[in-house]
Amino acid sequence: MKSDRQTLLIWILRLLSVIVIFVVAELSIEFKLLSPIFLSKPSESIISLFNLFRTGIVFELLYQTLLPLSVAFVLSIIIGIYLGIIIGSVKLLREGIEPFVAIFFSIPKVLLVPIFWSIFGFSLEYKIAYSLVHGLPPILINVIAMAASTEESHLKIAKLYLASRLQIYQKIVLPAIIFGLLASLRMALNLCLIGVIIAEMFVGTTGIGFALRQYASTFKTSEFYALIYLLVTISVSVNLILLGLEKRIVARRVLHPVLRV
Amino acid sequence: MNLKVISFRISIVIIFFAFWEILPTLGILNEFSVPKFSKVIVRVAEILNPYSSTSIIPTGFYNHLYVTLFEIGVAFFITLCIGLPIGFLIGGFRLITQIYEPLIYLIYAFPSVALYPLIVIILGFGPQSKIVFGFFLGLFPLILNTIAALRGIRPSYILIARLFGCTTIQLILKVILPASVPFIISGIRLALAFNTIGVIFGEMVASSVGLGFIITSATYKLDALTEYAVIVISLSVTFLILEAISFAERLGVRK
Amino acid sequence: MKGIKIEGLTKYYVGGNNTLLKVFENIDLFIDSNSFTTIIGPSGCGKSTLLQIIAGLIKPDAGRIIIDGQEINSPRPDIMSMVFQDAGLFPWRTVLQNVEFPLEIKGVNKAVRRMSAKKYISLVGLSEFESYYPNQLSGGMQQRVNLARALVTQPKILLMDEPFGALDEQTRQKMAMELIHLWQHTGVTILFVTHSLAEAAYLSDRVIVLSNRPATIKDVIDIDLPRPRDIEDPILAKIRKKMWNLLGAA
Repeated sequence: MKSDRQTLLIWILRLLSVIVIFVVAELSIEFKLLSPIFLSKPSESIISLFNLFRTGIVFELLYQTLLPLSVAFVLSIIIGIYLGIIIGSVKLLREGIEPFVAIFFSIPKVLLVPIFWSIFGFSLEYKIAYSLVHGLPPILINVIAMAASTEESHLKIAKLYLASRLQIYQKIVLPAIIFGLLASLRMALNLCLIGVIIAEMFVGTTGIGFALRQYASTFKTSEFYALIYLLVTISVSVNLILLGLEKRIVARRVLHPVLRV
Repeated sequence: MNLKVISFRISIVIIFFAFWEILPTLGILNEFSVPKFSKVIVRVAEILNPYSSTSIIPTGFYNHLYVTLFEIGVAFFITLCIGLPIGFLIGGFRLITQIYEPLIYLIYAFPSVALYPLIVIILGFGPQSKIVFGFFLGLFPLILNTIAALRGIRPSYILIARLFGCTTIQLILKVILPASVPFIISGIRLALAFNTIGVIFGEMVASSVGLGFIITSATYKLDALTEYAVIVISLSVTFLILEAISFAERLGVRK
Repeated sequence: MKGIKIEGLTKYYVGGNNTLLKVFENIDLFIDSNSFTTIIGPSGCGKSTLLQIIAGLIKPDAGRIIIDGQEINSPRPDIMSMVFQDAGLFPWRTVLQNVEFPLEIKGVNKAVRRMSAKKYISLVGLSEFESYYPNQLSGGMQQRVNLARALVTQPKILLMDEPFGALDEQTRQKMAMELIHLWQHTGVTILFVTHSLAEAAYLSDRVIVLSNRPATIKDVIDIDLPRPRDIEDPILAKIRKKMWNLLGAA
């Protein structure tokens, strides 16, 4: 059992490692050990970040990227639960679809970006649709697995107590699905974000992905890094929050194998 | 294998391709955005045929294919060379694991694609940027899986080996390494998948050769047929590569 | 004096709330060479801990273990082997390779260790299965391979921690008979920990009954019956009853 002091120590060490990297970066670029053309001093990048905030560019970019992200994420959840329950509860569907989902999960979905552009053109729908393709599979797989496992082992017990179909859904299937959902939520969100950025980088004139491409090609490195810091902050905080939630709610109670990456 | 299940799967496949053929024909899907399946297959054949290939793709399809495969191969090799040792280093010492594993987890969750434009301006449009990017993408899943593999070794193996008087080196070579192989192989497969994603994405966004490049330029030229054809070919190729590794994995796990 | 001398053995355990629990205190015991001794006691009384201290895996807080005049404070694969309930065979090695393992570690020549391994594998009756993998074998067979592996180094002492615990009743009985065979064939000193009173009575020359924590030696029962013993033997039944009463009052 880790004592509180040990945990504190570990966090300090982690923070120190990160700080050391920043300091080394700052000094190497200052003293021209690393090329200042391609890299930007962390201090300058942070200043750029403030500027971007000041001029409101950040908010515009965030809106352009986070809007399709949220829509795609919510859609993934809704479609994931709906389809997942249906597929998970019907044995034939579940077994039949299983290899397809596995294949879909492992192919490089970047190859599909041009198809989405061809169909939707450059628009909000394009970003949402492509991001959905990234975020849906983990949720779907998890919900299917949950619905399936409750289907088999727990239904027998419920039948012994003469539980009605509704009671079974309410008290056994739904809670299990929600747990499966929570466990895959974080992964889905990360994947949705990757999806939106890929879509924006491939083609288009809006969003963080586009901005990154733009800043890089015009050699505005400090703005580029500023956006990266922004992304890192968002990604790390969201992940830490969700990880915390996961540990408290999910980890102690889930007994079924859950997809983990 | 259940006959019902097999026929179900076959029917799904048939329905999928049927839709692909019928919807564009009926105009429900715009033919310029989604060409008919039959036409796409014809184009695939034309591209794969070395004689007709150059009329569609100026420098010939196979050159691009080899470039892509080469980039993936090199990225994969570097990922293994760097990822495995780091994975063992971090995973092998409980203290280091405790400190750094969450950090690597966070890096893994971060959309690394965002860094690609930077890699391009540093390394240029050539294969180096794709290789480096592919490597970067595949590195962290490999490290995480290696760490998990080491953690998953049953303590009883180590106990028994110690009881028989194993030295540390013997322990590593004869117990830890073999015990962690299955898990590590799945990490290697994941790494290859990510290497592939990185290389192809890199080619799609900033390159002048390679499968990704053909797809992108066909897309911009509104040549939907070539676009879809090369996508189909690329999907098949990557699927085959990954299946090959899964197959090897299953052979090894027969024990 | 040949045998295992346990002198003043004491072991504490730090529980939750930082309380000090005595597992056992000042245990004195002597186990004769070539004998078959069983230790029984209520769950959690420290039998496994005692065995592991003898094996050199855990350090006692006081007291010592002396085997044939040598003090033991670390694992001694040259004189001892240990068998656990979980066979712990390496799934990536065949039966033959698993049994060879201890000799491989010692650096024994390949031909020699192959021969030794084969010999002990045939001793446990699994010669046909030499090239099988552990996952292809039943629980009982895995434990037999485990036994072969433990004996291949020709140890003086064999420590066994509930080795048949995971097996079904019939297999347990078979394994018990085979164990006696092996014991008589190799002349090894066996120290056996079990929950099963029937096993204890059937197998041992001597049964050491431990009390609840902090464990002390409640009683030592000597069983003078010749082998092979009959499970149905009424004397064994009486001994079992005696053990049961001792444990019940523990």
